[in-house]
Amino acid sequence: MRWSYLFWLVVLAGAAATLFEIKHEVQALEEQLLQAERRIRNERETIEVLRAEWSFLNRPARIERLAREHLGLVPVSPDQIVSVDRLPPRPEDFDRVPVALDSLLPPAKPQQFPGLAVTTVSEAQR
Amino acid sequence: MIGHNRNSARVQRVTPCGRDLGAHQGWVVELDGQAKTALEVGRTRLLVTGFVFALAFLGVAGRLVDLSLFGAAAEPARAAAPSADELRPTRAAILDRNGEILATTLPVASVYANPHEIRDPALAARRLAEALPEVDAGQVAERLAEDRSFVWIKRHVSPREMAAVNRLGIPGVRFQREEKRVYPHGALVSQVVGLTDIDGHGIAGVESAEDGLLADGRTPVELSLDLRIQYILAEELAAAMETFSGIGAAGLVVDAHSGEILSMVSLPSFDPSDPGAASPDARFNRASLGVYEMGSVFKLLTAAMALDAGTVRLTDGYDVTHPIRVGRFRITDYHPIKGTISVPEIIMHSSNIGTVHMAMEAGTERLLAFYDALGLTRAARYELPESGQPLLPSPWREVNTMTASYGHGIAVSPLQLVRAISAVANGGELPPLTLLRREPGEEVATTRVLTEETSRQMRWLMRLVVEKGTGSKADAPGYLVGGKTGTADKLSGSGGYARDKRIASFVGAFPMDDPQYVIFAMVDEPKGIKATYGYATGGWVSAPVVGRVVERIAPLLGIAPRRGDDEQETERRIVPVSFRGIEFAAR
Repeated sequence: MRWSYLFWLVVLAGAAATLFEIKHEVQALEEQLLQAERRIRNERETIEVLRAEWSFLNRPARIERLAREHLGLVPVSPDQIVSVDRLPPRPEDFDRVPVALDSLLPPAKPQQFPGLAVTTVSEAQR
Repeated sequence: MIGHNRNSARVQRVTPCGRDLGAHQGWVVELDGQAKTALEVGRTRLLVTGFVFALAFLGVAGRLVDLSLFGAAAEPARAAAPSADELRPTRAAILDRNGEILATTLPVASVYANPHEIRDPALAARRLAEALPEVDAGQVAERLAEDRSFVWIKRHVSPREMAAVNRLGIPGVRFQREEKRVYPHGALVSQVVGLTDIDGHGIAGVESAEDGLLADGRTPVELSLDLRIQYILAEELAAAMETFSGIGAAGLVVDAHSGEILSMVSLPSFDPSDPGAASPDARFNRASLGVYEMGSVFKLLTAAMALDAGTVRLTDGYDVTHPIRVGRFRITDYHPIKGTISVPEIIMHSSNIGTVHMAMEAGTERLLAFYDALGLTRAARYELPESGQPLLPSPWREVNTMTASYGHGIAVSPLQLVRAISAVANGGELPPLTLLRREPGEEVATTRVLTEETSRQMRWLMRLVVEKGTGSKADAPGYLVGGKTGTADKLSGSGGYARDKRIASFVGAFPMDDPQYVIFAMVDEPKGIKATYGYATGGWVSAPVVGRVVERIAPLLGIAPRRGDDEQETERRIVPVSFRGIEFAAR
């Protein structure tokens, strides 16, 4: 009889210990979670502050001044805007080298420029 | 043995010691019916209860084993307990149509102290004054010596100041997290965006009109404003205001089809971070709240009405040699013309006499009905409460029809005017104005006020004004600007018109073969300068503003200029068939 008492006593002790262990672990995890949430909130606030600062730095007056001073940009005039179909048709020998050097180089073929999309003159006029 | 069957035969019983029990079964405990039943019942109850408890404990044990051994994969996500901050949502941001932040709420630190914890108030005050520039050491020392547990040192300090105070390490000095409404673009959009009070409630502009949505904090409010266009319009208007020494200016850019307000400028403007310093003039939104007699711009509306009603055709004309007399009143032209001129010429050269003839032929009833349909008789409705109530003569007499036809005697707000011109230029449909961004392609509830044919004819007339008429300075090469100049004398306080005070305005639309946007520019009380030969009319003051603005904003709006052959081709498409090949002389 005494052995069965001992056995159950041990089981009881083991159960209690496990319970406390798990509880402790859960508390630690909850603590970590709260800290992580606090950090996320702080980061979100920082992001909002940075977004406001970015918008402030994007003031059109400031961008205009910087563009003029450092890049030398001026407002575009309508003459500078042209659509592709208004370009004159490409002369046949547009991408050939000058006549004097012609004999030294192989004739220019479309296959030499694999990345280029080549359209014939009649397509461009369409 | 306890209990026996009464009816059983007599059995010889002995005690454990072997003694004979004798005749009377002395060991036997007899139970009568009552006690026996009670015991039986009690025993049953005990068994049942024991059984139930055993089941319960089995269940608990089983669940315990289940949870701890087999994991909690199917457990629902932990519900986060809301903290005090989360319970009150942060006010939402206000953005322009491209996502630029116009107003946002940021966390900001405020420095406070507990005087009971400060050991040396004078020293602490000195060190705090070093770290915080605008703080007076003497005042702070006084406050720190008080017998209170909470005093403000400085509210809404910058992150740098906060770091500096932190570095001091004075015990008793702490930070309180507060929220501050920040306006990154300041005076550029202040009249539209508005202000909030100390408690974070909106008190003007969009902040007040959309207070509910903003307080909700869920999604930012997207306005129809385009910050870049706002800047360009404000810059050009400010330059014109300075050149001509005006006391104010107003401008609008509106999408002619959807009614979205892309830009609303009123100068002078105010800085939202210091609203107390702003004058009432700066807080007044001239573009929406101010009502003005618009002058010659109304001639477009008169012509549209007459053409749509069919009382006049483009090929008709009137004799404008003689001024019109009404009582002691004379209606003359600014630049008198002799002879009969056609309707296009009336508009091109802005003839008052010709316009009055057109209006009188159409009749007062038609004119009033037309104004009503265009929304000129009531304040323009949009999101903000700042919308000027128009001034109309009451009762309306025949002389009022005459003066109203060329824009005098009736005062409307620039918002109303721009909306009416949108209908004239966009094909005849009056759009509802809005400050909130609409999705491209969204259905807009418009009302038809003119036929397409009338609108097409009006487009040509508007183009003529800019091509060859009084509005030639509004032309931006390639963008086919059309419109109408307006110069109106301001009313003086003592009744009648002030001689030297006027409003110079120009309303235009582009590109005229398919108008997409309507632009309005106005300068309040411009004075003539040498370069304009002393003139301060709409054609000299406001038309150039519109021209420059169109040139700068067209690339932003994705409108390509029509060049060379294309330009002539589109010009041809604007001119009505009956007028092709006819050259108009510019007088």
